[in-house]
Amino acid sequence: MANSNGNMDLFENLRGELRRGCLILAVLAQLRIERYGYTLRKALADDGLEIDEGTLYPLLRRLESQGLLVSEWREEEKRNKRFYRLSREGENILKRLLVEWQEINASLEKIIIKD
Amino acid sequence: MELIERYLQSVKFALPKNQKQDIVAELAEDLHSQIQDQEAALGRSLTQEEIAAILKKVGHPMQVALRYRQPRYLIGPQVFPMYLFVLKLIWMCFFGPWLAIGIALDIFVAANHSRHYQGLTAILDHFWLAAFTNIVVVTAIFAIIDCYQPDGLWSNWNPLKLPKVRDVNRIPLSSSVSELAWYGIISLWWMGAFGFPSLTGWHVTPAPLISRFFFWPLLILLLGHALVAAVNTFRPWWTPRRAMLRAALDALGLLTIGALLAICFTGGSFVSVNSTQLSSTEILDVQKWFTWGWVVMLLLWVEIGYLVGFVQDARRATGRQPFRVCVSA
Repeated sequence: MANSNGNMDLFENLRGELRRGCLILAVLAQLRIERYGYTLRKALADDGLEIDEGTLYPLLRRLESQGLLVSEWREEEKRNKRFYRLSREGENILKRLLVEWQEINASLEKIIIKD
Repeated sequence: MELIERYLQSVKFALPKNQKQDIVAELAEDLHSQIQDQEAALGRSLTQEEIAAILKKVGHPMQVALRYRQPRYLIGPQVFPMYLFVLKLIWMCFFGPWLAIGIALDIFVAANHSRHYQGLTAILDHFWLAAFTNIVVVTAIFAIIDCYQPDGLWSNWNPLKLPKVRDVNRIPLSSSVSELAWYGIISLWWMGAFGFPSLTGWHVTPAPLISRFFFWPLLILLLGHALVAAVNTFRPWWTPRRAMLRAALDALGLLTIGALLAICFTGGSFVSVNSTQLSSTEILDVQKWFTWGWVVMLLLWVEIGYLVGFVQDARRATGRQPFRVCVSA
């Protein structure tokens, strides 16, 4: 039982590591269109990538502090919402990351098929 | 919605000061959007329990707030191994011997009923204070090093200057010299050059049983080790023959000290005490203290040392590598 729990923890840790980089890529890609946090979460979930609030909002702040996103508070449907979109630098970085991602993906596919 | 306000207040408590309002406003908006969506789907307002379930899913307020903070540590992973090494070194070379000598002194002085001695408690009081101060100072120094790492600290290095691979068959000069000094002094003491430790008015000598049966085995053991240490000083490489000789000495040590332990555990004494200041009951007590002091502080430690040394030397003598955990034995 303890071993089974240990394996679950290990799996969750590895899964978290695997998802971390992918989430950044997914968030940047989704923010080519301006969105606020909740709609961004919904858009990601609709495409099969669930992300909780506790992960998304700190990530958005970090990406903004790194200059990859810009944000502004605006009123919509009588509520103040913070809208995010890619900055110019974010667009450049996203392009380069996508190339990197495709290379990694192609390599992984080769490695996995070989096995 | 009071529950949401309570939740946000708890999150706000642990948020970075300059971002509190902003983060709370954004999180509030997300929570309200979730509630609004669920209410639209159900066609009614959510109950307190349903709102509580949403909050539970978002996570504990402290956990949520901490995600907005950068990971913080006093000593980072780059400096931590060196920090641990320095702490271990200080403990092994300074505090370990201090504690051992303190306990030995306590047993010795307790055996001598000194009125001026404050006991183990006094030693340990100073010990804990010094140990605590030591840890704090070393930690502070490494925290500063970690905080102000100069640029290029980890990039300006030369692979050609890395230390050579340690040869487990090479005998460090420090180890040979310290062994030679230790066994030389103890041999001289055992032959009577310095006399037995005693206080004024006391006469402490080895018990007759010890003098009669253990004088020569112990002298051979001590001189044998001194001889091996002397050879090691000038020829610092283990050879099978020398390892075999030391393994034989280790075996002799194991047997001799095992026999001494047997004497102690069957009620015998290692020393004879003569004093006009003590009653016969007190003399027996002092003899008992001396004997147990030696057993605890020296014999058990030496016995374990001989056992480890025998295993390591036997491996060297048979051409195998000693276990790396005790390469110095």
